[in-house]
Amino acid sequence: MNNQNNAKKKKLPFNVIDILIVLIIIALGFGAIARTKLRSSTADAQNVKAVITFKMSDVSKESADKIKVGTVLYQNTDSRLIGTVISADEPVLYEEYIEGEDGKLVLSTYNGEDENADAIQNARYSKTFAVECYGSDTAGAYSIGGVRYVAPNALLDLISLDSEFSATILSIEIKN
Amino acid sequence: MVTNMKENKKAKFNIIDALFILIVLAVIAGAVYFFFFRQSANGAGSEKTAIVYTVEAREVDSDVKIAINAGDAVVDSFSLKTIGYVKEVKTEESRYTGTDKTTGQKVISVDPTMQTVVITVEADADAENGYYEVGGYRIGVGEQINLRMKGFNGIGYCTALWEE
Repeated sequence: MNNQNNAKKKKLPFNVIDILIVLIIIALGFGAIARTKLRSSTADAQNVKAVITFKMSDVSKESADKIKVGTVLYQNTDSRLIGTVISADEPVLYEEYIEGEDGKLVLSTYNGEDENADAIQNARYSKTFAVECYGSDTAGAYSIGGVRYVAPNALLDLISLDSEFSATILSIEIKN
Repeated sequence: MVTNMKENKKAKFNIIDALFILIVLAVIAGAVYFFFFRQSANGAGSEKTAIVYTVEAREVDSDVKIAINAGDAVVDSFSLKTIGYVKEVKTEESRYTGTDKTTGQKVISVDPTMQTVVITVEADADAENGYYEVGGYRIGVGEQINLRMKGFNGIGYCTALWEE
């Protein structure tokens, strides 16, 4: 009888493990709700349209000509969608300043009227083009697809269906 | 008799249960520390020194439209920590130092295809360790600064620093 009373006294009115499990389930529930809310707000944020102007430099005429209106661009590293080209300038001869004999910079380029066929064949070009992108726009950054941070002067490695190149961001114009 | 034994067994301290409870408590304590005390442990509670420093990003394509504004956060690309706020920004012509092959003299000329971006940043720094530190990032003249800002992305170097 005495043993029975002691046992009853020692026994807690609740099972600690059961309570912990209930607490964990409640925490998971809150976590799931928070995540769902975060996801929906992120989804809204990812619909911000922007026009990003890129410049590709020191490329062949063939590479420059691959980029035209309608070309879909992806990030080279993970094939993430960047956007679709909505306008593209005509390629211009690539200008580079190099050090001359007197130590000063001198313009080094193909003049475009060179009769040397090889020189024209090997000429390098620059091309500016605009890409329509969708992403998130926050106080700290514009991110394509909500994940790829971009800003003026960022260099992106890009691919299209039939080309691969690097391009520098010249500007980002948020549209909505 | 059998009932008594069962009840005794039930009331017995279970080491696995205790470990489980300890783990849960440790996780909760970790979460509390992470959300409420981490910043002060990093020195947020210590005395700060107001500093101003300049960052020069050189050889930026002159066609790049710099969209930095006063008050913008300056974030380190790797740690993603804020290392100050923009006080002022200006662009300068990009200067190139060459060598005259005949005289051996150094000659400076301007590269019209490039620009230099100079950003003046203000920050509250810790100086406890003997050097200025902002957001865990050492700031000093000559230090490379990896800029991740809304209006600019690139690498610059700290060229001047003073206390405000």
